[in-house]
Parts: sequence; structure tokens; C-alpha cells
Amino acid sequence: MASANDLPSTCDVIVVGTGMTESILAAAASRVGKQVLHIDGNDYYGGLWASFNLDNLNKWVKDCENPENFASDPDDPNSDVKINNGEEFVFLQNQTSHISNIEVKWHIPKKLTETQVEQWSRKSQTSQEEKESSESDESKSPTEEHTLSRKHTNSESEKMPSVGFTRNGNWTQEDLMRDYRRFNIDLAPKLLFARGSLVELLISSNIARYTEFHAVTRVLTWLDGELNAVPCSRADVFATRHVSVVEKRMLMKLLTGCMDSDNLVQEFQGFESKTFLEYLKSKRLTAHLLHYVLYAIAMGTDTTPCMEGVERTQRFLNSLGRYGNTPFLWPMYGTGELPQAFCRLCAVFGGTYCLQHPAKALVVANERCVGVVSCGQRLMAEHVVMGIAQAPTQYLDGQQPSGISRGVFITNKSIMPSEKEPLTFLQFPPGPSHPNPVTVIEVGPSTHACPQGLFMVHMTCKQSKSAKEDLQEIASFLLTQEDVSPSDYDISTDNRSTQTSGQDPHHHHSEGASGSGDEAATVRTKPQVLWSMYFNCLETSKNSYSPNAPENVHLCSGPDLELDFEFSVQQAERLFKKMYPDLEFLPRAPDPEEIVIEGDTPEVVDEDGNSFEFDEEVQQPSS
Amino acid sequence: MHGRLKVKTTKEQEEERRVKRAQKVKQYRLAYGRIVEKRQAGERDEEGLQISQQILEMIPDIHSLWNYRREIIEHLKESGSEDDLQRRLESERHLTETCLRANPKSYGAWHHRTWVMDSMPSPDWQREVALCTKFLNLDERNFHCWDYRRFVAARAALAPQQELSFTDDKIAVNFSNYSCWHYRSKLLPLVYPDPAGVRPVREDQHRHELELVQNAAFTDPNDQSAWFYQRWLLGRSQPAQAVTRALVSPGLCLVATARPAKARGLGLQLLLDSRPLDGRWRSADGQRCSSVWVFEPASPIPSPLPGDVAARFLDASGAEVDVALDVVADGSSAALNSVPAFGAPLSPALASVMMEELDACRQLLEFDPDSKWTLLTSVLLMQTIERQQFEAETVLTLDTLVELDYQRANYYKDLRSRLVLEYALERQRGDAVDLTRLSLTALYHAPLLALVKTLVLDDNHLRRPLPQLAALQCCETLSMDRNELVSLSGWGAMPNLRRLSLRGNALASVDSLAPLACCPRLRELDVRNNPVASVEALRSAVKAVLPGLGVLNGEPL
Repeated sequence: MASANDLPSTCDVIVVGTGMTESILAAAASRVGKQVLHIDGNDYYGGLWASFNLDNLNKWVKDCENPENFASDPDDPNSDVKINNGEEFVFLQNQTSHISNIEVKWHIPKKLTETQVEQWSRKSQTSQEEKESSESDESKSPTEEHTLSRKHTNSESEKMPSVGFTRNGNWTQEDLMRDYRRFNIDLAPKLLFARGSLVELLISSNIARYTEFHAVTRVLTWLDGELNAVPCSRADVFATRHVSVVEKRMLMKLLTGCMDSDNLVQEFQGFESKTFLEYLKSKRLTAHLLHYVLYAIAMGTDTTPCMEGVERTQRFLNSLGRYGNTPFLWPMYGTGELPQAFCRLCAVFGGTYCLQHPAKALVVANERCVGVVSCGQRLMAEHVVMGIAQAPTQYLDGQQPSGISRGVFITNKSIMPSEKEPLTFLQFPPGPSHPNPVTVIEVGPSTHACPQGLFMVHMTCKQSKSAKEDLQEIASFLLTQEDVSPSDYDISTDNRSTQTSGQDPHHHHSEGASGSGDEAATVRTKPQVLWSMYFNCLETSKNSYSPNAPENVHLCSGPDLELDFEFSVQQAERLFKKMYPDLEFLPRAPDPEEIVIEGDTPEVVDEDGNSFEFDEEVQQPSS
Repeated sequence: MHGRLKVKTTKEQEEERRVKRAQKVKQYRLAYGRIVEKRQAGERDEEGLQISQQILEMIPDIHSLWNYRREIIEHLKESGSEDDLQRRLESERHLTETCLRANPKSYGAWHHRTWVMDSMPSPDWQREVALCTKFLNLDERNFHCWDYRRFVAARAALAPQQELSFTDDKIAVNFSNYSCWHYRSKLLPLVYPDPAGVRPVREDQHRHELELVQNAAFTDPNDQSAWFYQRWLLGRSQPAQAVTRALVSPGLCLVATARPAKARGLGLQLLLDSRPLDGRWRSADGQRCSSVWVFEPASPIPSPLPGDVAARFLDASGAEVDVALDVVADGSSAALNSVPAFGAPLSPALASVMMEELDACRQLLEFDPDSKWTLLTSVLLMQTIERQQFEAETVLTLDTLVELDYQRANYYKDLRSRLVLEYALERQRGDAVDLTRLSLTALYHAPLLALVKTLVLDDNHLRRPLPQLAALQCCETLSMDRNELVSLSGWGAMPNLRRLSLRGNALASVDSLAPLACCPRLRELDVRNNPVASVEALRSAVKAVLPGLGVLNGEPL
């Protein structure tokens, strides 16, 4: 990490922003000997691809809600930095403009102990409020972190309930915040196909040594109103008790048929212009199998064209059997680790890094970008790479990008508990009220996504309304969400007093806050949401920038809707070839023992290179 | 591992490696030479352990070195305390572990470990179980480790039930695992023995195992490991020992048994009027262990026979079993010629399970009509369930297999020969048996033909040597026209053969007929439509081999 004062004023490539594509490009340029300066206005890596602990996430949410809080360049470039003749400054955007409809909510009380329940009083409540942050204070500005139900605002009735909380497994906000460092909450959760281009790139470039992965343990689907494990590998098909042996044969035959490249043309003759659904129907698959193949394995919809469905099935199957029982890997510590791994390689080969160093403007002369204005400095470079989120509006094609709806839920158990800690991928098929499939990834404590005893559920889909509207129905299928806000204390207290009557006139959550312990025991099969977040993010992978942008400015898309990193890797490679047509894209980095520094004993290039713990759970892509 | 890409290395690295390798080879030669010297000099000391350890850590597969270590330790054991031995063997165990880590399939290291653990004064078997589990988690098909695990499980007296659930887990990970299925076949009879003794395991568990196999078969019908296991599950148990054919007459006494055995071990006796006959047994084919035994009585057999005639033998438990022979009306001879039992009867419950299995196979064949394992299994099932009912389908299925799997065509043809012959022998039990045009490529169940006087094997595909003809002790007329015989070498002796017809075979040379010398009573021989028929010297050559021959190729000699 360089301090702001000793940044090279001239270099080959300036990369603005540490998103996935930008970081791959930075690594690739540095690897072939280019002098790279990589800056980011944030105090963290990854931009819209970052993973945060709970505390940092709260800060990020605040910043998104108050864009003016965002780290900004204190200097006015016009006043400090001289514009030479023929130059102009093209100002960059603030990346938070890509985030909208953000909604964060606690579903558990702040604090709870047995004695506090007994001794609950307005007095202690007030003192708590002073001590802690402002969650329960209704008078705060709407920009505070929690979206509170205002319907029942009544400071008089803020009393601690007992019934409602015991059912949450006694988790409190305090419990979670005490462990805030143990969370890694992803803004852009993505899986890696075991034979996808990112895994291959990590291996071929030798960047895999900076990363650790867990294999996804199971693929689930939503079928007939419940969760079903999808038999996707040979071992799964053998072991499953949910399909008959005849179905097993049908399934295996269909899957091997899709992989049989010799007979592919013959097999799919006549289906070129039909849908994958039609093909599957022609195979007389049973309803269950059809569902497994179309929605879970091919991750398609009823309108997915046949050959696309076949390709998707192939992609799924090709990745099977490499690292575990499913085709997917999940990065330990979250997806935010991946851009950092590339940054690390870039740094090893001499790249200069500076966080909290926002770029203010591009310096353009004669339709060429000559550099970047940042923190009162002119930084000159041959090429400028930047995330599309910060790109000047006039460089974009003007097409309104589509959006991604995201939901993140901290829960008290897995959506389908299993003997060993599961790591779940679930492609929720489209339904009448949600036209788009929803990608659900559930990660547990062993991936360092959350502390022991908790799980984290990520939901992603194409945006049609707000993230909450798009996702809350699916969330309600899988999870139980109770609103526990100070206003609810009132109701719950009522509940306690009217428990025997079983009716609560104020009660507005059909399942959530109702009932006695007995009922709770029967209803409580779904995990309880302890904390939730919804937000929308622009989907910029389809956007291009207009030809009036200087040709040495290279824009990188933000997180795309696809499950994997295919797009980023390909975009990075494409941009690299445009920058350096004659150079190799991320050739294999030498191992430490292969590096000999002249006149010295062999030295380890990077001490972290050998530091992983290799236990059975951790999957390490290697050749 | 297979199919892994090897990364090319730079020239410097290759050079570096070459130098290193040369050094290693030099060191190895030196060390190995020293070991040989020491071993020859009978030096069994610490130095020997040290040097051999250094080599084994590089190359764990030199059996001589492991043996040398064993000699040294056994020698040092005599002068040291038990604690010393324990310590020494623990470090030995550690060495094998180091070697196995480098090569988990080292025969030498696994074998040495077995010895180490068996010799250790206080072995920690639980540690060994854990080690096996670890190795099998890394590679569930490491048969060395499965082998070692069975050894450890026996020593540690692990509950078979517990081991069985371990195999459950491994099968779930990858059912293509011969070792694991095999281990199940060893454990199941311990955990779930069949009280009736008909099946390999108790009926309910049997059903469960068959379901498991069915799941494997429907998941991947081309994986043969599960099919093999199924064979064990469905396999006809060895037929119990029995006397299947017997003859007592003034001219010839013989007994044919269901399985080959030694006459003494079998306790064979012939009883005349409940009294054992005095005499000696000789096998028909000259083997020590045989299925057809000829009795040479010390005194002539009286005629007519004075009373009841029986054959006696010892069953598996050593108890005497008497089988009565039917005495013919004039009392001149007695014989046993019962209907052979080729299929063991099934309980109705088991039969219905098998029927379900067969239905499953048929369903499977709708998807993959060419799946050879499914076809073969359906044949075995049909034979087990109700062989009479499935005669035509059995033959048809085997014909399909011959077409489909040409590399194993001869196997299927032989199997078909056996089954077809079984059907035929159920129908024909007289003095004359006609096996014409049955596409036989092999002659099974020859002992059941011990009493046959006329055997017709025309229009088959017999080609290979037929030593089993020795079972045909009573046969007087044998016809094997239009087969594929090229030679008669290896033919068993048929002491009573008078007429032999070999028309339309491929016998080419006079020499190929020489083995007929073992049929001294042969009067008529027909080798027309063989290349040898046009050999000029045929008559004289045949005459030399068979001085008693009267008719050759239909013409008097």
C-alpha cells in the first residue's frame, strides 16, 4: 500500500476501482511487466463486489443512503490541478448511484437476558438507548440503518416481550454485533463452476494459492411447495430415495445424452428452434425429472431455447466430479476475496495500491485520456481502466441498464438442516408471481460467512420492481420473518397477556408473532430471519460505452446477474487483448521456489504462498 | 493419476533435476550395495535399519529391504526388553506411514505394516482403524487399504455392523467399488445370517441389498461392480454333494457325483444287500479328484443280484448317506438314473423378489436394449426363478449377447451350451441321449451322461479338447458329425466305445486320430468329409492305432 504522497505520477496503467474485472486486468497488466497504479476511493477492496463484516456493512448502508458521506475528494480539481492547454476534465460519478431501494432490518431484539425480561422497565430502556445506537428511537432521521415499522409507534408501550423472543433461539442484536467481525456479507455472491473460466484462470495463472474454497454440498430445488435435493451427480442419483429406479435411468440417460458430443447433432435434430422444455417433454420425462433438469441443472425457464438448455446442462455436468459432489465452489470469506487475490498478484509484480484515494476526473486531450486527477494530483498513464459505476455519464450508451434485486438474510439455521454443515445452491424456479428465477445461495459458519449457529442466505434475481417486492415472496417460502421492532413490543406484551385467547387484534403478521409455544414448535420448521437486507444494483454487463469515449479508457462492468464469474473473466481478457494485443493474458506466475534472485540464495516470493491449511473440507483448485 | 496434464519445466529446472537424480541414483547404489554386503555377512544391526530406512523413504517398494528390516528387528528383539520392541515397532509403523503417504498403494509397505502390528506387544488397533478410514476417504477404491482394513477389523474385533455401515458410506460416495462390495459380502453373513441357510443373508436384508444393486444398475448399467455383487446375492450356492448316477452290474460298477471329490474323502461305498462290497475305486479320468468313479470289486458281482443295492457317501457334515439303486427286472444290474436338479427351489418370498428384479431388468432394457450386464443378469434371474418357464427367452437373450458383445461371445456361447444341455438332460434320461443341433460349444455335465449308451452330438460347434468324455463309461455309440473338431487330442478314454462317427469335421492329419488308442473296443470309425479322409495312408495308420477296428468310413477294413 502506497501512501498518497509517493504515488508514481506516470505509469502504464491506472486502474480506478477494485471490482472483479478491474482487478483481473490490473493483475494481467502487472504480470506482463506494466507499471500499474491501482486506486480506489473506498477504504476497502472490491467496490460493488466487496464482502463486509456486519459493522462495515452498516457503514456501507449509511453511505449508500447518504451519498454525500461517501469518501470524496476534498480538493476541487479545478482549483488545485492545472489544466494544460487543450485538455479537459471529465468528471467521474459516484458508485453509490448504482445502489437503490436499500432496506436493512433487525428481526430480533437488541438485547435480552432472563433478568432483563423480568426487570424490563422504561428506565432501563432509556439507558440502553443512550448507551447503544439509535435503533429503537423513532425520532431519528429516516436515514438510520433500520427501517422501522411506524404503524405502532408508541413510546409508552415499549416493553420487553417474552414469548416472541424465546422462539428466535434467543439471539439478540447484541449477540450478533459482538461477533460482527465474524461476518462476511457479500454484495455480489457468486459461485464458481469447477471447470469454469475463473477456476481455470486461477489455476493457470497460479493465483489459486491466494484463495481457498469450499465445495457446494448440495443443489436444491423448490418443487410442489417444498425443498427437494436435486440428484445431480452419479452418486446422488444412486443414493436418492426420491425418484424411482426407472426415473434414475431416464435421468442418467438424458444427462449422458446431453454430454455425448458425437451424437449431439443427431440427438437434437428438429429441436433447434424449440425450447428445452419441449425437448425434455419429448423424452417423456416424469414431472419431477423435468423439473430437476430444466430448473435446477440447466437453471432455465419454460422459454429457454433447446440448445441453450443443452449448453447449460453441459456446463453443469462438465464441472461435476472435480472438487466435490456438486459442480460449484464457493470462496471462503466471501466473493470479495477474489478481486483481492488478483490485486495481490498485481502487487507482487510491482503494482502500486492506494485505497481511500478517489479519482475525481479524467484528463482528456485530443480524444485521448492522458491521466487521472485524484486527490489534487495529476496521475498520467497510457491506459485508464475503471468500473462502469464511476464512468462519466457521457461515455455510457445512454441505455438504461437493467437491475439486480438482492436479498441477504442472517438466519438461525439452515433452510434444510443436514448432518454436516450444508452449503446450498438453490435456483428457485419462476412462478406466477415472480417471472424470473431466483438464485439462492446459503452459506454457513465454516465458510466464515457468519458465526457458529447462524446461516446466511443470499437471494439474487433480475429486478422487476424493488428488491423487496421481487424477493419477499420467495423469502417467505423459505424463511420465517418476524418484525421485531420496539413498536412490536407492545403487541407481544398483549400477546402474553392474551395468550389464552389466542387472538390479537393488532397483530399484522399472520404467522410471525402469533401463538403459544406449542404452536410455535410446529410452525417453526423454517429458519428464523434475524437480520435482513434488500437492495437493488444496476446490471451493467449488457451496457457498452459510446464511441466518443477515448479509446484508451477501458470500462469494466459491475456484478452481472449470472451465477458465476464467466462474464468478468471474459471481459477482462477482452479488454487486455485490446490494450496489449501481443502479450499473454495472465501467464502462470512462478512458484516461490522457481524464483532465484541473482547473487542471493533462493528466496520465497511471497510468504503467504505456502501458508494454507489443507484440510479435507477446504478445496484448493490445483492442476 | 490418469489424464493429468504434466507441466513442462524450464531447461534449468530439468538440468537441476537431472543432477539431483544422478546424485540420488549414486546414493542409492551405494546404500543398496552396503545393505547387500551386510545382509550377506549376517550383520543385523542399527546401521542396517538406518540405511534401509533411507532407501525405503525414497523407494518404498523394495521387498528385500522390508524383509531385511524384519530380520534385524526379530534379531534385536532377543536382546532387548519388551518396551524396546514396542518402541522399535512404533517407529517401524511410522516408517510405513511415511512410505504410504508417498505411495498409498505400496504392496511392501502395507505388508510390512501388517507384520509390524501383529508383532507389537501393545498394538493400538483403533489408531489403525482411523488410518484406514483416512486412506479410504482419500481414495475409496484403494484395495490395499481395504485388505488391510479387514485385517485390522479382525484384530480389533470391530463389530461387523459398524464395518457394514462404513461400507454403506463408501458405496454412497461411489458405488463403483469392487473392494467395498466384496467387504459387504463378507460382513453381511455375519450380521444377518440366513436362518434357513438358503440365501447368503437374511431375507429382509437380502431384499435391501438387491434394491441397492438395482439403484446402481439403473444409475449406470455399464458399471460391472454392482452386477458382480448381485451375482453373489443371487448366486446358486454350490450344489450339495450327491450321487447323481450309479451302476452296479457284473461288467461295470460306477458312481457319478454332483461335484468332483476324492473317493476316500467322499467315503464312497457300494452296498449289496446292505453289506459293503470289497474292492477299490479308480477315477474314470485318472484324476485324483473326480466326478466319476469306477469300482473294481475284489470278487465278481453275483448275477442275479442277491438283494437291495445302494451307494453310500459322506455328506458335508460327515454323515453317511445311502442312495438306493433301482434293480432291473431280471436282477442282472442296478442303476441310479434320477432327474437331475439344476435349480435350487426358492421360497415364495424370495421368488417374488427375484421376479421384481427381473421386471426391473426388463424395464431397464426398454431404455437400453443393448445393455449387456442387464441382459446377462436377466438370464441369471430367469434361471434362478423358474428355469422351465424361461427356456426360450434364456436362449434368445444369450443369442443377443453373442451378437452385442462379440469380445465375450465365446463366454456367452459356453453359458448357453450349459443351460441348453441342462434343459435337454431334464427331458432325456434313457440309454440314448440326442443332443443334435443345440449350438453346443462345450460339453457340460458329462458325469450325468455316465450311463448313456448312445450319445448323439451332431451339428454342434464342438471344437476344443474333450477330456470330460472320460465320464462316458457306458457309451458304446458316439456320433459327433458336423462339428468343428480339428483334433482328438485330450479326449478322455471311453472303455466301451464301439462306434464313433466324426463325419464332417475338420480333422486333417492322421496324427489327430491317434488319441483314439484310449478306446480299445472301437470297431467302427467314420471320418468321411474330413480332410483326413483323403489321406492315402489313412487305413494303415488307423489300423496301427486301432488294431481291433473292423469298419472305417463304412467299408470293412
